[in-house]
Amino acid sequence: MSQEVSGITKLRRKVFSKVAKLALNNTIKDKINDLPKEIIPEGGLGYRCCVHKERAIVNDRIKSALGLNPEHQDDNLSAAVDKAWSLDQSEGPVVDILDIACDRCPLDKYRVSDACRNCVDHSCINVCPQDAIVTVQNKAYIDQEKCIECGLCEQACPYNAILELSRPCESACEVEAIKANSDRQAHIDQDKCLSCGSCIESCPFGAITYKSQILQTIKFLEKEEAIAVLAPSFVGQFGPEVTPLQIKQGLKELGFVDSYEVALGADIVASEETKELIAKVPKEQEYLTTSCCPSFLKLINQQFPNVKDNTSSLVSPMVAIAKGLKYKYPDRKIIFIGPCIAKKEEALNYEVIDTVLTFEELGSIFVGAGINLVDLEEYNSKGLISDAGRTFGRSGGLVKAVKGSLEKIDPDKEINTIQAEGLKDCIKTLNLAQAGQYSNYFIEGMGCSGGCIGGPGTLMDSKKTRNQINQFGSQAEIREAVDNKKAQKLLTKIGEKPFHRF
Amino acid sequence: MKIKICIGTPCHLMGAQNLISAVERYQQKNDLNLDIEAVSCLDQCEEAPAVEIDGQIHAPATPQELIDLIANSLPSQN
Repeated sequence: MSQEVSGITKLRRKVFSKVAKLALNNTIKDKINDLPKEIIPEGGLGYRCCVHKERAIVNDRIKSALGLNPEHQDDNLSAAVDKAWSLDQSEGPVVDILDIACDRCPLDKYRVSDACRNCVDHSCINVCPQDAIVTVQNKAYIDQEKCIECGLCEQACPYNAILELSRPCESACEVEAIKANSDRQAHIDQDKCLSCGSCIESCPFGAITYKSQILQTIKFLEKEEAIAVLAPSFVGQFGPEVTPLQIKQGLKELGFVDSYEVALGADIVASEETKELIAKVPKEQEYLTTSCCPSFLKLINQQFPNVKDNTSSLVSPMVAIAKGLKYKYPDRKIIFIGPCIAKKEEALNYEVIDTVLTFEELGSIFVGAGINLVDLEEYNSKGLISDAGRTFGRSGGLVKAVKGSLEKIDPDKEINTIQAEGLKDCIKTLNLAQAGQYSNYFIEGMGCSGGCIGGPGTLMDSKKTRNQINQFGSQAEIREAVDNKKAQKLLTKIGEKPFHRF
Repeated sequence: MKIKICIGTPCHLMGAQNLISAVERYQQKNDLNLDIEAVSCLDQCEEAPAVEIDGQIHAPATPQELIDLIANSLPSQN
């Protein structure tokens, strides 16, 4: 995430925390209808035209926090709670537009700025194929009725006086999944959406949000035995002063019967992926890509059909650890906690994951439960994890893990590696892969800049957590994934097949 | 001047780290030696994030507000 916690982010976290508190206190059904008034006091926050609109938007934010589609719902939140309690999963797509919050940003793509000198040359007028540019009051003027948004005038102006305007949500989306309808209302094409969360962070009106599974998780905590599995990027998310073992203690106080590091799943994935790399590259294929980032994998499946066969056959570390745990504890619920929104969508395809929370949602549950991690004792935990598994969640971590295991299994094998981080970089790398530019390569792809630590559900600046994760990895008992006896034991016990997608 | 910045979980979620970074940047830029302490709770969880300057609580605080408060509390430069 970006360094500054924006007002929009604070508002989302406030809504999440209040919903969690009411749910934990068992007063949610009675008190939820008062929540919009509590969050938006009389007089409003000054974000919108009036207090009524602000409350109406918060009403929709609450529905989304309950895991429901904000549209097509009764405005009575108490009824919405009944519906949400009955669900084990959130409803519909993960990323949503709050229609009433969308400001319907103007469509005019090209505008002339004050930098226009009304020069003699008038290259803008000369280059325009539609004769859409005229001079008005000593300045070029674009007739928006005629403009076809070709952009030639912008390129032609020697003063860079013509500005290209675009909606922040549209420019944030690398796969053009978000577009304005003819009424200027933003709309997400859910077939194209990779659930990466970039648009959520980009919209200055906070009109895009993700559905929470706070309520469903609290339900499992109350009625069943639930295990928390923590993505490698959990280290440092609650500030540099809060240790990983304090976070685990916090989970215990929330009522989780146990917690595990997903890094164990990463050890399974990295050691199997190394074997696959040795077996297939370059004998059967020129390169192998990673498969643990759901946005990267969906991007390949949608836009790079020729790369599809070269993806690793492994499930993600989240799915791997959940399969291992469900094998041992078939009746326990598995709650994945991570930096990622796309994991919520990925989990829908695997029965072994019950709910997915972001660190932001977990933090909100801690706040709702009155748990202050800084004050907690350290949880007494044991568990065999490798350095490689613990650093899986930062860019370069997958390459490091596979190279480390490769060095142990087949030290003579030479392989080239490349890392792509952020969807823009991933698209570039996949284009080159599809064009046959990579020979004898292992390709790491992560949808977020910096890797998982840069995910939209994180609570800390990724530059800071990167150092903490590396340090936590260096404290691990073993270095390489392939040396993790616990991971190898799981592979022997359950067999390799459940850990492969194909 | 004594500055306490709460890093308890509610304040952390509301951007306590941004307050710490802002004060550290301000201190460095102006070559100051401020007495900054990260504390676990200032009992202002509903108004997070909270800071305390010389015994006076300010919540919620934005990075800019905090810097202005510090600047105004400093003895004048002349």
